[in-house]
Amino acid sequence: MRASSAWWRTSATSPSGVAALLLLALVGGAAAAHAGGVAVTIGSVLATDGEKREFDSRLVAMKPQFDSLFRYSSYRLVKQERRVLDWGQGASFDIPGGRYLVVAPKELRDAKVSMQVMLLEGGRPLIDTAVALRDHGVLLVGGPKHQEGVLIIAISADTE
Amino acid sequence: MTCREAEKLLDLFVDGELEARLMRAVALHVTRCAPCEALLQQIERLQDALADAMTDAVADVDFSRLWPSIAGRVDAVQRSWRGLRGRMHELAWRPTLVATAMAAVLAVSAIALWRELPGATPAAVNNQARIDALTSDAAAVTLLSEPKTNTTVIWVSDEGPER
Repeated sequence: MRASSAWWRTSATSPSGVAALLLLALVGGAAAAHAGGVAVTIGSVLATDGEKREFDSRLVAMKPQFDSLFRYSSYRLVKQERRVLDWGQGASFDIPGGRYLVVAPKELRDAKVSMQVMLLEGGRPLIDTAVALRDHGVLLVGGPKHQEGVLIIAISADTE
Repeated sequence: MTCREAEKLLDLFVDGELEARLMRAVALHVTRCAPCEALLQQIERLQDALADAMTDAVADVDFSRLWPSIAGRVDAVQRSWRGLRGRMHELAWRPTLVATAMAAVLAVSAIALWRELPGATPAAVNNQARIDALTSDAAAVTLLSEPKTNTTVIWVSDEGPER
């Protein structure tokens, strides 16, 4: 304890020591960023057509994309789930309408998260895809009918 | 995969602890096998019930004696903080040290701010995705892309492309 205090005092009172500490903090932060795996967030949005125009305020970050891609009058976030997964570990997410979304992140390469994504409905895979999604990016899977509209599933992956 | 094999793996499947290949195999089996799907739903209901019971149990815990214990520790931290401030005061007359420390703090703050600010990078939102493989049992699959943010959409339909 005493030795480490002495080291701290020596380091903190010299410019090179401060620089070393700063470097250590930055390197430590970067190393910690990938230690926790990848946070996968699945948002299920119900898109419907009607006279009333509504946009769920929780989806505001996605509004430009939704406006550009789709022509529904109403968008409502009906379910959201976030899980931190280890690389190579898969997880299944319940999607409204008795569907399952299986996500298995494989690796982070060139700032892209490679993962297997599988959407299952009534005993058949609606999609089974291998995708490399930009870290912190969002992939949309849409089309399955639900209630009076369709589901748009937003899949995002964030390394921590 | 057989029902017998799937049943052994359902607990791990619910916990998301299966290796990706097995996770897919179990998921596929469950969506095609009504008894296994029923069993999976049973396990999920049991887990929900356990989670609810745990939440209720935590809600019943008496925290009234917790704060005095925390307050005692806060006092100790405040005392050591006062000691640190005294030592900082002793060091404050060294201009080189103060300048270096301030430069370090500024550098760290600038880096943190740069990383946190939305729009700090030229491409604030970039959802670029590369589809390496795609199979589907749906009647039609359409790939769409939104150019401003490179957002990719995989659109599945049993009636062909509609939008």
